[in-house]
Amino acid sequence: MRQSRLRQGKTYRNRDWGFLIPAFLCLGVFYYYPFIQSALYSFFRLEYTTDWLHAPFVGVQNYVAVLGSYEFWHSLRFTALFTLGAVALDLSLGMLLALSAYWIHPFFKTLLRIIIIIPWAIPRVIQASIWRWMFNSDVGIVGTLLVRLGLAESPPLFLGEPALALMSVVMAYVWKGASISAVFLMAGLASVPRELQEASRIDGAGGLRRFFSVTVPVMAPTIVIAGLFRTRDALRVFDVIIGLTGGGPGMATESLSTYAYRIYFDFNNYGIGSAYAVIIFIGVAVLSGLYIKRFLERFEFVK
Amino acid sequence: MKNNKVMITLLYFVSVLVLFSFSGCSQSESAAADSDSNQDETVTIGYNRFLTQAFGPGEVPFDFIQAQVKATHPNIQVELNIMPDDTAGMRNAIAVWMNGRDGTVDIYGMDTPWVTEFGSAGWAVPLNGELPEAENFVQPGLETFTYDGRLLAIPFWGSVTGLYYRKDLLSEAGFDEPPATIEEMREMISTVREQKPGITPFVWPGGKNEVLVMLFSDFLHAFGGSYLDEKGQYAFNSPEAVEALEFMRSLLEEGLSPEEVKTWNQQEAYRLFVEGQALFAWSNNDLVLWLDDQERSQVAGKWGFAPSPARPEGRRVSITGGFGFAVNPYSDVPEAALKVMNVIAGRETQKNFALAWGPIQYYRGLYKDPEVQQANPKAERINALLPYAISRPPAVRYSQLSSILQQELHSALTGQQSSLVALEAVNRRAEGLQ
Repeated sequence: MRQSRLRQGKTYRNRDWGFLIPAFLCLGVFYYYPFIQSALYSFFRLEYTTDWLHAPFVGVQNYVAVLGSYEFWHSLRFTALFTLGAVALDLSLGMLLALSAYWIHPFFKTLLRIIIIIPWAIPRVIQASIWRWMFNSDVGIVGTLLVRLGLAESPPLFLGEPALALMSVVMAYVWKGASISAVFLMAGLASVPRELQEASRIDGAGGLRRFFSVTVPVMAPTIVIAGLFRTRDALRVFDVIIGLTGGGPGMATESLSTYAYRIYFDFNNYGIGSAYAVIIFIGVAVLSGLYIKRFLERFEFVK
Repeated sequence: MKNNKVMITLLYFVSVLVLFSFSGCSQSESAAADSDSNQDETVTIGYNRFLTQAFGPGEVPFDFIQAQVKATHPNIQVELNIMPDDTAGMRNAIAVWMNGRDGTVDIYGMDTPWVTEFGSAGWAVPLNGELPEAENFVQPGLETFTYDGRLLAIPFWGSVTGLYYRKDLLSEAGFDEPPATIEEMREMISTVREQKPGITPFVWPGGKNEVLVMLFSDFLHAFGGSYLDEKGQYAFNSPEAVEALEFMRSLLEEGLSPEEVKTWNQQEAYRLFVEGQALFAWSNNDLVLWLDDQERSQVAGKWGFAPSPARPEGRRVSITGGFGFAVNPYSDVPEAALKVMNVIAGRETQKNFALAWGPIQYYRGLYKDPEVQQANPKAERINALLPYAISRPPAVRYSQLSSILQQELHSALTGQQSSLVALEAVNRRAEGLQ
């Protein structure tokens, strides 16, 4: 009997490993293999070729070149600014949307949820094109609205001024990002016990007090995870910039990812491009690690 | 619970089956392709969707090439791999293929600024002596696509930039000729503006784009500058270059061009001119073909096209562009690809390009053909600019140089740095590429 249970346990363990194989295969082929290959390329001088076997080995020279370049620090500064702005707005708007969808009259609930989901379903590049037209200073709706509301004398040059271009990119990004956050947070809201809300209401707590003292603490793990995902995505921002500003004006909205892309595909410098990619990977991994250590360990589900 | 286990097991087997079936499919497809290659050969052309469109009386160029190849080489099939419309996207796709030594396309479109870069990387089969029809091309057309003595592509369409002007408005203001100098242009603008205060004086593509490099190249020469100094070093920081960039900025500061030009690409830039709201527009010769079409243009019969004006000490120039077809060195069917290339280089195909797309083609004597002349009544207007034609800045890593120029010029135009600082940065960074 005991032997049979042991055998059964072993079979289950084998089967569990079997279930993991497709995931490991996909991760290996699409994530780990390209990363290992990039890490390898980053130690060779590779221009217009990826034939590293016949390319000169340059040690850490590519890393030195990246870290010594103006473009790297410039795009790092932009990416940091963008991430701060985008994640803060993303989560705040996402929370507002989630709360609206949760507390709204049941009649409108489905409609609001559909409205929240729609931006999520639109590909980033198409979304960037839509926003490019909306920000167009000639015919764009945003500029026209500002003028009609009396907030501007003439439509601002959203994509031609550095500060406005940064704001435009953040807005376009958040339009979709907030809906992604809202979906996360709606799930979190569902986990807040109604009894707690009721109890605090009976105790005389107002809406804001209930939100900050009951809802937010209970939802904290969900908010932190949503924040982690949104930070990781914002640090890698690419398509919305390519579609909206092309990194301009000048280099004002060039992010780490868009500049890495340029080095790879416009300049065909695969050695330096790979060093760039590895540095971004390490940066994102370290930040994510710190984030997980700082916040997630507080919650029960991290053992 | 039991149902869940059954479902999970089922899902597992389905996913494994899907993975295997994908690999199985690709194997069987490649096997089929191998067996086909013994009978027929397929040559794939990589170019954007324009190859499937005709803008004049000619046939759709791709259909024409297919028919010509079928008539002369019945065992060769020609297919089209539609590539991105924008040249940067097209270039990147080609670069990825070349790096992977990939034969997805056997023939691909090569833009003129890529020649040095692709030639030095060995990304095109040298065509010298391979195509009998190449003998019939005028030399400047072939020289554009020659690197280090190797002919890399056969041109099929070319372009020049210039200044579009409103003939009617200038005439009303007492000017019979377009401006030859910058000073004349300024004078014309102020005179016309007095009569028509609502007119936008000058529109141009000032967005962060390749065409900004072409525009700056034009003004650089107009102010007496050049790409290189006597020692062959880049001279983007010369006083003339700074003056040229200052002139571009002054157009914005003095309200001669709308602030929006800083975000415009070529199409956005000429819109106001086509709508009859601008006096001058800088663009390439594309508009010549349809600006007299009343359905598309508000300025039909009221416009002219001339080389850009220059300072007395400068030089009037037209910046060239255009595409040629090149053969992929990693093609699986190089001989068939060369046969197709010879068809493309042939008189009939080049004539069809002239009929379908309009100028510029470089096949000798093509524009003496009455049919071509009839289909291109405006060809003379473009030909008048050819003596002014010059190439874009020379560079082994052109895409990198172009990117540097776009960044720094646009930074200066948008007021993030001064013209001098921007051009010093261009020169410093460009020297690093040599």
